[in-house]
Amino acid sequence: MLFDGDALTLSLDMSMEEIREFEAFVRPRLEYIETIEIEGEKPLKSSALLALLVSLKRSRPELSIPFLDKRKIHMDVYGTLHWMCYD
Amino acid sequence: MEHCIGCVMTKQEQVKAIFIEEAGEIIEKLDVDILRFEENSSDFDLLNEIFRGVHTLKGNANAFGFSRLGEFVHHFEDVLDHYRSTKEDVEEHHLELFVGSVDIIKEVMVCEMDALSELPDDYDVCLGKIKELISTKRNKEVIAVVEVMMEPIADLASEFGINCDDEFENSVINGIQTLQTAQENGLKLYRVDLMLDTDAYKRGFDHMMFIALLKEEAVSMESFFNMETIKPIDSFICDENTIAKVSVILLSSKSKTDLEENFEFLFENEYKIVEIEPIVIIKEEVAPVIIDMRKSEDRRQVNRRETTSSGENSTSTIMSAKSTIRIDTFKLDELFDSVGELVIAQNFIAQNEKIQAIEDESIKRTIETLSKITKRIQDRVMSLRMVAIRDTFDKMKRVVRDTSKKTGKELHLNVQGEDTEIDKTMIDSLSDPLIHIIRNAIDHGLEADADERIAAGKKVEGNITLRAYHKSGSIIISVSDDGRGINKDKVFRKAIERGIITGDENLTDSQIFGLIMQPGFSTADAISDLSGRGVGLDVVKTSIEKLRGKIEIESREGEGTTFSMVLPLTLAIIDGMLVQTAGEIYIIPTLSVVESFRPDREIVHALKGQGEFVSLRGQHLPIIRLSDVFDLPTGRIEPWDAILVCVETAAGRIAIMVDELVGRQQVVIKPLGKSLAKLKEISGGAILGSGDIALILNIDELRPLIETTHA
Repeated sequence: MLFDGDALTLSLDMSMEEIREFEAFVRPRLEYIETIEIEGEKPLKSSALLALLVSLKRSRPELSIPFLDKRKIHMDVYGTLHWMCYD
Repeated sequence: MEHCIGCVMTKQEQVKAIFIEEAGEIIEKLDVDILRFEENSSDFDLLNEIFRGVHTLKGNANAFGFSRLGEFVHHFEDVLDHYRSTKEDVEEHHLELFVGSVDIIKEVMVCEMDALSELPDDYDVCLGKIKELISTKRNKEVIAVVEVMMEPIADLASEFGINCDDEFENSVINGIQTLQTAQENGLKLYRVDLMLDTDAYKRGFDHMMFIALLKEEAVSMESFFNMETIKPIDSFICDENTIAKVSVILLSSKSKTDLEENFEFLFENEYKIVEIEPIVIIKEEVAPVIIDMRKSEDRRQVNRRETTSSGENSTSTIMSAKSTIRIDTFKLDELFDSVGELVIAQNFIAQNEKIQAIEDESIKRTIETLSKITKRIQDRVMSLRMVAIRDTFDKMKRVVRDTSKKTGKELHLNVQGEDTEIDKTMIDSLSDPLIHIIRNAIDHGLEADADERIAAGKKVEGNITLRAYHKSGSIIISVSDDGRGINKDKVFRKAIERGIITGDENLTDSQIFGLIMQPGFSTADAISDLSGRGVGLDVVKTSIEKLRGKIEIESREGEGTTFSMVLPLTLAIIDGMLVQTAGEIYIIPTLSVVESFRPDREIVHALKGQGEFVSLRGQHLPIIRLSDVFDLPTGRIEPWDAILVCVETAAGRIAIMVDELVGRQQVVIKPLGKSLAKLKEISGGAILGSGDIALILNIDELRPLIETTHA
């Protein structure tokens, strides 16, 4: 996880422990984070991260999360993943 | 190597084409079912059937971005759902709304397919009425709804997706359809639903773990996360699973039991595996026909299986491979063409003089057997193109109902011969002519009102009979009414008035009735929006003639009229009369032939500047010398030394002069090359049993050469 100014960069292969840390980090800072980017091509390790990103977007719709907007991703280890956020 | 880019459909296009095909079938069925329900509105099984059709249509429409259709059917579905669940009686004016809604669905579907920005005029009005109706009905249920909203969060979770579940389901179904197109032999298609409990992460489980395990077993896989129930960060706990459902669609060679082993540590309520029946699709489909593989059973029973695990709420239908397969009609045409070649080759063997000269009983028997088998194959391949006319007749019920309402005439529709089979390519062109003839029969055929019928000694309720049957190798589709019949004298006078005839002609009753189908002819005193514009029946006639058929009219004044469409069994084969002139063989479609004869010298006349005529029972028929039409080198033969074939053409009867009649034969029509296609007197070609090629005459384009003279 890398926080540079108003952009937060994450990797999809965060463990549950790392997700908990990310959640704790982002809660008090949500108002001034502009963008959450995903770096690298490692596969999503836990669906909890996807749920957390959706929760953040739902809390602050103007927050830019390009990864979520794609609504699908293909990973060799999982096949194609789609998500419906209803936002 | 060249590729025709436009000819290759992407998978998405293939799936969309399947959706459009299925949507068309659903809408056609809705059209019929809604009328049946109107007749018996206490039939809640039928209402359920209608609901399921609308539900499926909604799901598929939304999945393919047909949002306007999706929105309309969504609200219509709500109304149907209310009545089917409450079993409340449907008021008569609401039944009318149901019927109107199906009309709108049909029209919106066309707008969606053609990507038209405009919607049908009544779309908003009808949708408004539907919304108003459901709003009224739901007012009574408000308290119950509030109670549901006050349920604890856990209950809400179990009820998740009431509003959005369909969107999720549609995406899943889209995924199913995509993988179905890639399904090959030996691969099974599964849907695995993961509904992990909130403590799943704490128990060491994660959706991604199971998805990865399934992926190891899968050839192809897509997963869909329903994130509807994810809360904003204030009430979000990342340790707890709040993803209500993840649906995984996979193609795998593994058994269901093998897949289940991946979930042995989960509770039973946390996962569900369903195997989805395969669909058999021939790719590059253009205009598919459905072939029934169980001829003895009702053709209309297409087995459909629900693909989702949600029972009644499932939104997709899958055609069972056990009963029917879809085949591109182009492939059928190719098969038919090949069988045509086989028939020609077989005829060549059977008619070859050298082979016939062989004195060997076993060879003769083998040739006979070959002939029988070839005929059987030909018949069976022909039958693949044949479909029952039932669906077309079902559509006509709606036409009769609507026309009856518009004209205010009480009537009863009799339908006979619905199982009569007709060439699939022909059936598509029959609807419009049939609609016009039926409307014409109701609007003009039946008496104007009940008083007129009673005065004529008839029951108030008029009768329209729709009938299909075989006769002399043709298919007849007739529309009869028991109305006032055609006034022959009025038709005759009108035809003279319009300059269609001079009045000197000696016309038979049938020919006089036939005048009403001439362009610009109308005896209707007032033009209605149903018929009587004077442009209808000639279009009907042209449409039927394009199918190489003809229309016959019988009428008795005061008793009624019958319009009979006489059609060939198929468009690929014609029954032809083989004639020879100047050593060349030509084929005249037998359907057009009235008679053939060798004329006496006394009845043949030549008029300077007008050509030759033969007087046949008071009629003067122009003589067409076939050798002149095709500029064939031949000695001068007088008509009384030749044979005249009297044929019925669009412009009236003519006599085609030929040297001799060769015989009658069913021939497979072959398209002509570019150079011959320009000859308007020729409509196609055929290969005869001898291997010779014969041209099929387009008799409507044969004209007499007026310079002809003789002694």
